[in-house]
Order: sequence, then structure tokens, then C-alpha cells
Amino acid sequence: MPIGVRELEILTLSAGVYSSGINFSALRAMHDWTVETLSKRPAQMQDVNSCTDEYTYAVVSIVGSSAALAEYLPDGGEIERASKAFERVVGRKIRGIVALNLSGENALLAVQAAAVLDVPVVDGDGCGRVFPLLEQTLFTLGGITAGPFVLAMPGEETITVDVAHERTEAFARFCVAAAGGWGIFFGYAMTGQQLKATTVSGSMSGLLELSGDRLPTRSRSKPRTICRGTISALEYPGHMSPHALDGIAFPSDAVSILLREEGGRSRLIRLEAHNDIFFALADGIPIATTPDQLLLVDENYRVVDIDRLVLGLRVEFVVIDAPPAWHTETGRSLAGLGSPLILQTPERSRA
Amino acid sequence: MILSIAADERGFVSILPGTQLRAAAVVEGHHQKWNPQNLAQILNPETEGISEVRIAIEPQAGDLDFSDVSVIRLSPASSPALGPLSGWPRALAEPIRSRVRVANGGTRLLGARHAFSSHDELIKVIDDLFQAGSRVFAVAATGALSDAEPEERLAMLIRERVPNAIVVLSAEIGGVGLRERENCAILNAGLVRWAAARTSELSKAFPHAEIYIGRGSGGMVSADYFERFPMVALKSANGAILSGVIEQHSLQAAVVAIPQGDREFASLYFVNGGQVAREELNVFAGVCVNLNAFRTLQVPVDKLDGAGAEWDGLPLIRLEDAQETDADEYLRLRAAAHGLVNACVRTELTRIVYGFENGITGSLTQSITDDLSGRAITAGAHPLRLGVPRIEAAPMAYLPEGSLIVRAVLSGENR
Repeated sequence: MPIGVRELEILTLSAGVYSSGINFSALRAMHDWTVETLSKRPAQMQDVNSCTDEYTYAVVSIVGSSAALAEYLPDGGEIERASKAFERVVGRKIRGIVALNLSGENALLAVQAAAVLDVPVVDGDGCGRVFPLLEQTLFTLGGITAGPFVLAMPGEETITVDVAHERTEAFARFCVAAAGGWGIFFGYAMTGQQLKATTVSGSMSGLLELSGDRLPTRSRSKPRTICRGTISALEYPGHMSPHALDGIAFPSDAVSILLREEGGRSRLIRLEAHNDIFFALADGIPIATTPDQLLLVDENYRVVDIDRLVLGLRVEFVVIDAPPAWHTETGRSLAGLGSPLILQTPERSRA
Repeated sequence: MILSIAADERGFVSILPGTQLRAAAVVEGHHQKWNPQNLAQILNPETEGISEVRIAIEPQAGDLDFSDVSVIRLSPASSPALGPLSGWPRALAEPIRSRVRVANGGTRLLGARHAFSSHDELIKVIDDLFQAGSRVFAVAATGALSDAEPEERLAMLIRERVPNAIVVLSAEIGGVGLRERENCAILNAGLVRWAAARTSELSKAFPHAEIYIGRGSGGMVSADYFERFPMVALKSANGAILSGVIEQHSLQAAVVAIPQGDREFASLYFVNGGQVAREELNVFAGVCVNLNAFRTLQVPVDKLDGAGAEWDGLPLIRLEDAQETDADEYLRLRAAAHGLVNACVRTELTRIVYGFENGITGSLTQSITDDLSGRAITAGAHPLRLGVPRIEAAPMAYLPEGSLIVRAVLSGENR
């Protein structure tokens, strides 16, 4: 199936579905940059099951901050530089592109990379949601390592990194921060066979079937509404945040969000966030947790950015179930669940 | 006596002296085509003793004048798809396209300079644009919200080289996102002549009155400030209407429905905590900007009819009459005038800071307060009647710990 400018418009609207928040300026920049590419040559989308077993596929993602992308704009050569460096370091030609996740700009990047390199974009992704760290993927669960990987930043800076898999994010973040806040990642070189075993299939075509930027109502990833409420407090515990994976602190800072629930129960909902929301309590009782995707949505049923939350804002708290692989013991561990207290929540048990 | 005037998008004005009771009579009696001299005749301002006029004027696409406007972007080279004027309607961009320049410079989001702009290169760019007839300069630098110095330094050079130059800095008007902030600066530059003409007309019509202009995000600014930053008046009619409705109904949480021109659809605005919910991006003249955007939901009017007095569990305030368009206009204008009567001078700023792992410090708060106070006084606030600034700092996702986006607002009584 070809993905041209018309399909890109749909993807741009719907890519917020798997996002923990959207910076619309960054999304617009990525959209306009991709239109320029697709107007010359559309991308071709390929079903995961039709991928050739022995071919090499590359996983792409934006690394770093969307706000940085909106300020420090792409120079336009990042994809070519990254792909050439990646092919050089893995010693094989890229025969297809896979999105690390389909959150915001990442969905558009995968399409653009495929069009630039004239290879197919795979109809799927490596998360089924979005996590903050590069190693938090279903590929990791499948035993595939991210490195060696390449980061291409604007300003014609390109870095090839070969480190232990669990050090991927730590190195990538350091490089990207030095370069200006964001970059393009090419990594997880894998065969078609590995791809079939790990990828969430059909997620990109699922986005193309959506009519807009609202959360899906399809059964596979239908959001569950937990409650509706008004933000009554925002707390920033700063560097005291314990949220880390294998000793690697998450980027940015933690935020605690207090919601006063509307309706009969009037529970006090406490949401813990660190780039995205990872844990929810209602009157002190755990009700939802990562690896499911926890989101706040506005009146238009669009995801609200964590850094745009304000006191008095009326929101709906929804949860989208993560793919089953995330609910295995290793999946939960990779998702960063440090406390046995939150391994199973009542709402999840009932669902 | 304070005179408030609300002008709607079709160019009509209504007049509202201070109290709501008199407002009704005056509004119904005097719908006049926009012409301040007519207003003067109607009200005879000298005998009425009008000392202050507050008006919501919205710029329209036709008000843009780019005949002597130029654009300088300070940034590393970007993809051609993302250059200055990218995404603009072709006809709007054409008059200015030959006077757009990009010079290396600006700041990375977390403070490091990309490169110090070459002094000689900047002088050459300025002289070149001056020779091409430029007198109004829109300046936008990468990372200007974390470090405005590159823009300020360029502005100083422009003023040295171009007599009476008008310089609009993106850091003074827009938000995060270089292209949209740059668009704000360019459109602002294209409106300065229009703004000067409007304030001149108003000053002639009301020679003894102080003139204040409504802001799109609520509140108001002085005529001088409006002349420098006319883009703050973008969507100011809605800003005034919504402020008025919140004030009239003492709203904390509600949905306000304002009918659109065809009356088949209405725009819903969401009031949370006494504030209208905001969005990131707005559109003016087909150009995307990051200024004065309210979150809206478009719904068919008949869906509202079925909703009764509540929308989604919240009180529904409808600024429309089921039968008469004139009545809709009256309701809107009365609300707008009410909003302006109760308005304070309001200023806003957005900054990106880093290295604040323990949250914002007293010195940062003071720095932001000083900056806001300076802006508020420039915008017409009395230096001794400034309110307490509302400063919100949120961690920026996927950036190093301690990187914060700070959004601050300060209101004050006018002089």
C-alpha cells in the first residue's frame, strides 16, 4: 500500500493516539519535511508477514525532545547520513524500515525514512505504545540488541555508537543533549524473521484507518475510561524521583498529578508521571500502572501533554492495554516496574 | 468614565459606557460602521467626559502590509521545507520572499550557542535589506526563549544601521517552536502600520482619552504597546467575550458556546478554574502561529439544542439566540464590552531554563517577575498596582533533569 501525502495527513492527525503528548510545532515540522519527501516519491507499506527472512531491517526513532526539534530544525540530511553510517557499521544494506513506536513524529519519520531510502516501511512497530527509553521495546524482549546504532543530529553531526544494550539510552541521551536536544536513531538491525517474531503487526495501517487525532475505539487498543476529574494539584518532587530502570534515571523530571474525580465516588486520584504517566492511585489504592499506557485526554479526546497540565484543567483519565508481551514477567520488568505493590492492580484484574 | 468598544469581525462596533444597564440601550441604538469619527459624533466625547477607551480590534489578513518588511532568521541551515515563510499561502509570502535572509546563529535549546554570528555577515545582511527598502525587521533566532541575546544583539545592529527601523523580536511575542514564533514576528511586522493607523484614528476621535486595546488571551494593553505588538490583539474579540462571560457568570468550570457566522455551527470554549483552556497553535491569514490559541470544539447548533443547560456535565452558557442574528451579535458585544470594562493590563512570557534540578529558585522567580513587570508597565500598567505573577514551571519531557518550561502571567491595573 502506498503512503503518499494524503495518507500522511491522516497519519499526522492519528499519530497522537500512541503518544504521551504531542508538541504540535514539532509535529508540524516533521509533517512539512515529510511532505517534501513524499511529494517526490511515496513510501510503500509492507505487511510484517511478507518481510523477507534474510533481509536486514532498521528501526528508526526520534531521540530526545520534541520541543528541541521544533526549535533546532532538521537540516534535511539526517536520514541519509544515519542510514549510510548504519549500513556501514552493520555491513548490510537496509531493506526495510520499522518504527520504534508510532508516537507523534516517529510515525512520520518511519514513512519518510522509507521514502528517502526507497525501501518499504513495515506495517507495525516495536512498542505497541510508547516508553521513554530506547531499550524499552518488544525487540529487547525478543533478544535483539539496539546496537550498534547511529544518531544523526541537525548541523550535520553523526555518531555511531556500539555499547552494551542496556547502556543504549544512557549514551544516546548524552550525545543528543550535547548536539542540541534531539536526533534521529537508526538501530536494532534485525532480519525479517526476527521482525516477525517481535513486532506489533498492523499498527501503522490501524492509524491510517482512524478518522482523526482522537483515541481509537477499535477493540484491540480501545481505551478504558478510569475517571473524569479536575487537576487540583501538580507536584514536582525534583531529583528525589526514584523512577529509573537498571540504575539509568529517566530523562526530565517527575511530576505528581492530583485529580479530584467528578461524579459519585469523588475519589482523589494521584498520577505519577515521568515523561509519561506510569502509575495511578485512587484514594491510595493502585488502579492502573505501566506497562499499560496511562493517558489524560481533553474534551476533544486528545492526549494532553504532561508539560501543558495546569491547575483546574478538566481531563479524562484513560488506560490503553499494552500488547500481551508487556504483561509477561520480563515485559513488566523492562517496563520499569520496580515495586511488587503495583504489579497487579484491581482495575486491571477486573478488565 | 470608561468607554468600552467591542468590534466584531464584520467591522461593526458597539459602545458600552461603564455600566451594564446603560450598555444595553447604547448597544441596541448604535450599530455603526467602523469609523472612530462616527463614534465621536455619537458620543460627543468631550461633553461626555470620556477619559478612557477600551476596544477590541482584531487584525484581519487584509490589514497586512509587507511592503517594507524583511525577515532575518538566526539559525543553522534547515531543510528547505522548514525555512522562513514555509507553509505560508503563496500569495501572502510572495511580496516578502525576496527580503528573507538566514544567518548562522542562535542558541541550542539548552543554552549553548550554535555559532557566534559573524558581525560582518550580519552588517552585510542588514545593509542589503536596507538597500532593498526594508524599514521593518522581523528577527527570529533558534533557542531565543532560552537565550534572547542573539536576537537582541541583531536588533541593536539593525538600529545602528537603519534610521528609525522598527524591529520585532520573536522572543517578545511567540512561544516554543521556531517557525511559529518567527511567523508571529513576521505577521506582527506586517501589522505595525495598520496598528499605528488605528490608534491614530482613535486618538483623534477621543483626544482626551487613554486608549487600551484588548488582548486575544484576555486583558488589555496600552495603545503604544499595541502599536509595537499588534499581534497580541489576534482573536481579541473572543478574548474579550470569554472574559466577559466568565466575569458576568462568575464561572469556574463551564462550557461557553459562541455561534459561528453561518449559525449552523457553534464553537465551544472550555472554562477551567476560571480560565479559558488554551492550545498551542493558532492560525492567522493561513499562517500558523503560537499565540492566543483557545481550545475549541466545533459542534452543530442543533446538537446544542438537545443538550439543555449542561454540556458534558458542565453548565452550558450559550451566546446565541435561537431566532435572531442581531440578538446573537448583541449578546456577544455586550459580553465583550463587559470583559473589557473589567480588564486589567496583562502580559505573558514563556522561557526555557535548565539546571534547575530542585525546581525554580528565588532568583529565577525574581528574574521572571522583573521581566514581566517591565513588560506590564510598558503595556500600560501602573508600576505600583501590579498584581502577583502567576508562574508555572513544568519539566520538559525527554530533556536532561532540571530543564523546565516556565510560563508566567502578570496582570496589573492600568495607569
